[in-house]
Amino acid sequence: MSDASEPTSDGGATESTDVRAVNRGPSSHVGAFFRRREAGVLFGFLVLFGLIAVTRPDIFFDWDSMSGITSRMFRQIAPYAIIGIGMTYLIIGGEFDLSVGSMYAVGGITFAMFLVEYRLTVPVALLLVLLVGVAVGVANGVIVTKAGVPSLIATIGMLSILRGIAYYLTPAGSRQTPDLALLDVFGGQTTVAGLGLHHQMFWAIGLVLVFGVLLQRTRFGYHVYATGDDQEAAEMTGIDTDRVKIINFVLTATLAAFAGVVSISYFGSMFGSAGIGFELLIIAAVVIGGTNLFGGEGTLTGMFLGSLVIGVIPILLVLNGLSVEIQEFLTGVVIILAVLLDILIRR
Amino acid sequence: MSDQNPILHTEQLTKRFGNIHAVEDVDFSVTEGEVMAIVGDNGAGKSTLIKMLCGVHEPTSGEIYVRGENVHFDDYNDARAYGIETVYQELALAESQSVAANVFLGHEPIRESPLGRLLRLVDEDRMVAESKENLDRVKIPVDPKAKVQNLSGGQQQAVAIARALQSDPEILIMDEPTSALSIEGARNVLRVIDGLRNQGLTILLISHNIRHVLGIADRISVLAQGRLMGVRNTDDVDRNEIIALMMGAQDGSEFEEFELSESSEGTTA
Repeated sequence: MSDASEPTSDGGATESTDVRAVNRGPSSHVGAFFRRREAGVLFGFLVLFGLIAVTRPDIFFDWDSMSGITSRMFRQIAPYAIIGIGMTYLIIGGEFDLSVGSMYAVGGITFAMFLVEYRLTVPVALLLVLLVGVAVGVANGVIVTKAGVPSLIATIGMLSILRGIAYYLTPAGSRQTPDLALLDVFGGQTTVAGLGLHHQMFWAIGLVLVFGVLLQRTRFGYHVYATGDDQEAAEMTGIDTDRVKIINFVLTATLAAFAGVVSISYFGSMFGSAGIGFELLIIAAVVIGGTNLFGGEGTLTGMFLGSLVIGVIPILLVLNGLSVEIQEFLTGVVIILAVLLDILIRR
Repeated sequence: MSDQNPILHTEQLTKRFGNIHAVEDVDFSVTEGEVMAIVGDNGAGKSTLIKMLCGVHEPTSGEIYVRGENVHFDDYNDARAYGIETVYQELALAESQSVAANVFLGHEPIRESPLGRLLRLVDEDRMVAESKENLDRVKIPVDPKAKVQNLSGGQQQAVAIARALQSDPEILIMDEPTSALSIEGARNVLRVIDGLRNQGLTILLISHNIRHVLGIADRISVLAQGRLMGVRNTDDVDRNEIIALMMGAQDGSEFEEFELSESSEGTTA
């Protein structure tokens, strides 16, 4: 034997051990939180929110105006956050779904149709809507994983198909829900200290918490991260990555359908055009929240905070008298800058 | 070295890809507890040979035997069932995940509680503790909670080896474990291999670095153009003879005067 095989006492210790821990598990340490991406997103949100105080102190320090504005913001981001759960799973796992906005419309519209035309009860109608979501998710997942169609193409196709269905099912332009007390479970509102909190927000927060624990703590969650991180490596260890992705597509489409139910329960009606452009805003919320656009990293907490950022931008702009066109324009700019910044940070 | 009761052997193992004869008629055997090196130039058939042994490629013809039993592997799980684990050259690590998650990738332990079993909650404490045990076994200090992408090459190699040890294999195939490592990292990995041999593991070491192979292996099999050119005991062979065999000479002696420059040795610093 030559020198190479002889144990060297100093060998192991000379390599530097970088102990920067992984930031995927939920951390109980406050200090750890502030080193994480989520802290940065929260800071960004607070800055944007604070800009309201700077630019429009008259409104910011008026409780009535501000409580109305914040409850509207929460109402607006609730569907982003609910659908964003599935989108986060998908993007961590290395895919994405552009058909969520159309699925949201189909979910709400078919829910109303089942209640009004078929006179089904709320639980049965809800179950059927969720099954439609499951079916769409399976279709997306199988087309992407088994047939090998890139998710960009497959889900843009599905976006168009579902939008066509949404328009077809709304010959009058929109559909209304009947006046049922049970719908308040989804669309009602609770008043806390004069601040109207819509049930949508509670659904969003509840689902984020439940699916957050599932993502961080379960074997499936581990496999979602591994699939998006290095699909080949995951497969070599026996993980069925196709199954992981199909489940993620199902989760996303089902949550989009559910978000549609929650929205129509609140508003009482939904247009065939509901949810157009959601996919972009939701993907932006996910990425702003720290999920790696190329898979393998991300959290639901980050996505939720990213949704708050997406929600506060139009409020800030409208309060400062900017027109809808400029709002659209600036929202797009912010999204591209946020993603660009994310890519630069990762380099 | 006795080949009377090999733990692993092949008979006329052949793999062709179309017209390319990647591996041709290889009769090859490994004795329990030894480090058997497989050397050869690029394209000599090293990778194809081990991919048949670990279940990735199906042989075109020929047989594989594990402890005398004729086996057919459809995938790595089949090979794993016979106690064969592989550490791939590209390591197959999920780099943004923790060391512990990588050691247990695909086989995460589930918490014993009823809720744990229902939701398939991962027992992270056990995962960290057990991966630490495995990492101690390879004797390269790595924090189980660290992110793999923040580790050095040698440490990543240790993580991949620790994962391979998770299924308690009898035969460990290592594909170019010292390539792409610093001199220090390579030395550490060779130390790990030596330690595993002392623990009774049989190791198949694929390498093109002759110096590393001469330093660690018990025997060396040389492949050239898909054929097994010869098997030598490390103690009875020198570098020139191995080089000669790699260059295709059936009898290494005629290349006795072969001069080897340091740069052609393939040492990656």
